[in-house]
Amino acid sequence: MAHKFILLKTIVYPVVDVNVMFSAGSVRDSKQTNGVASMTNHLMFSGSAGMSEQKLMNSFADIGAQIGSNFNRDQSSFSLRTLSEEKSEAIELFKVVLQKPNFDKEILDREAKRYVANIAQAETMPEAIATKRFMKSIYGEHPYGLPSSGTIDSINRIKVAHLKKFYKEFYVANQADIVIVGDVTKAEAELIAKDISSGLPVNNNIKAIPDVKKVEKQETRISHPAKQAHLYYGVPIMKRNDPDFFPLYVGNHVLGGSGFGSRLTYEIREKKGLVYSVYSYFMPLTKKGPFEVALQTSKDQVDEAMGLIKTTIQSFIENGPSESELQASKDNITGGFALRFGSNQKIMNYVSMMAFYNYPLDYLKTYTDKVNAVTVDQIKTAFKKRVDLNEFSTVIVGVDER
Amino acid sequence: MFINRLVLLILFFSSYAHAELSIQNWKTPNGSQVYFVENHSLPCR
Repeated sequence: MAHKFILLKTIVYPVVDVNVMFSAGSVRDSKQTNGVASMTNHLMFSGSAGMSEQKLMNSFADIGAQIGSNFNRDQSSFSLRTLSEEKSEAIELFKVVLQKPNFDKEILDREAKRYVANIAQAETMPEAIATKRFMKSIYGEHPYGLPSSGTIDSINRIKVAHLKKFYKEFYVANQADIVIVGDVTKAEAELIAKDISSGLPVNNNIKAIPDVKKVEKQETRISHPAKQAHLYYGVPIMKRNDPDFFPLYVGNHVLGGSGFGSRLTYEIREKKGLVYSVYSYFMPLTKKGPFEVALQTSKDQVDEAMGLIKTTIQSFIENGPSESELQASKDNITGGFALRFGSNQKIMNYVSMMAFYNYPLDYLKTYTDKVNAVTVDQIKTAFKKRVDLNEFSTVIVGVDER
Repeated sequence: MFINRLVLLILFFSSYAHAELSIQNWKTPNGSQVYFVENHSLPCR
């Protein structure tokens, strides 16, 4: 009997993606106002220009447009995807969302309750407890050390006036980055960008984000009934556009960034069987972002695992990777690179990062060459200069307090 | 035959993926920074 084939034709509709980013992440919070940045981001789709939340959502749905938002320590951003034939109407609606948020009291009250419930739930989970404590340990009073969604107390303090003030101060045209990808001409893109930008507030006195100061290292052990202990170890090291980015990034790929092929995995999983996985990574931010090593293991093995992390990193700082390890990491990083641009969404993600952090326009074009140019000596030099275990803080959740 | 087509397809997609990304950049009158990638044919996910 012959096989049956069913042929499905994929019809690709031309789309336009727009992403608008503001320097309005939780780094803009203070201890007193912790959570205002996140709540402002969260309520931007909850009604605009007097239109209700429901009406607004229906209007986007009616034309098949999708909207989304993103929030982290540095950034608050809003995205739109529309069929190009519906773009005028979609952009008109998107503009209203960005330029005329309602910030209704009823919706703030409703969402504040949800935030409080989520925070309370997270406070029972060892991983959430550990990451929160870790950020506090390594940043001290710097706003990167604040929980990005606030605390129960600080969320309960938020009033509509806080959101309006925050919006006027930080959702401003002169600090906005607008990325447009897809089926529009340059002239159309110029109009879209101008349209979005011209209705936003302007603030020429926007506050500078404070530099990260050195904090006394801390070792924190928190007891928890979970079977496994969660360990976090690190310190703030690298910011965006850091001159040592390539040697640190490629070096870390060998050390703990490449998953099962990394040094840390070899020493702690393959040789000792202490963990399922262990990783290390640099998370560059506007200011120095965390370098973090993390694993989970059983409570009675956590000290042994900690010791192995330290000796593995120390040996890497002193000796760097071998030539073959370095080559394997370069191949791994550059091999998949071109495939990361196979869709509008992926292009949008990369170009948005470049726009927000002011990367040069040839960043993607030169990326592979820069990775390939990294040498063992450069990695050793960069790690020796930048990574000092004496400054690392430790958080372990899931042990008895000493 | 099928394999040939598969190879062709892979060649097609890899050359397409290597295509250089052309990014244009300007500022709006209000001072917003704009990055623009014009693309009328990309798969849209």
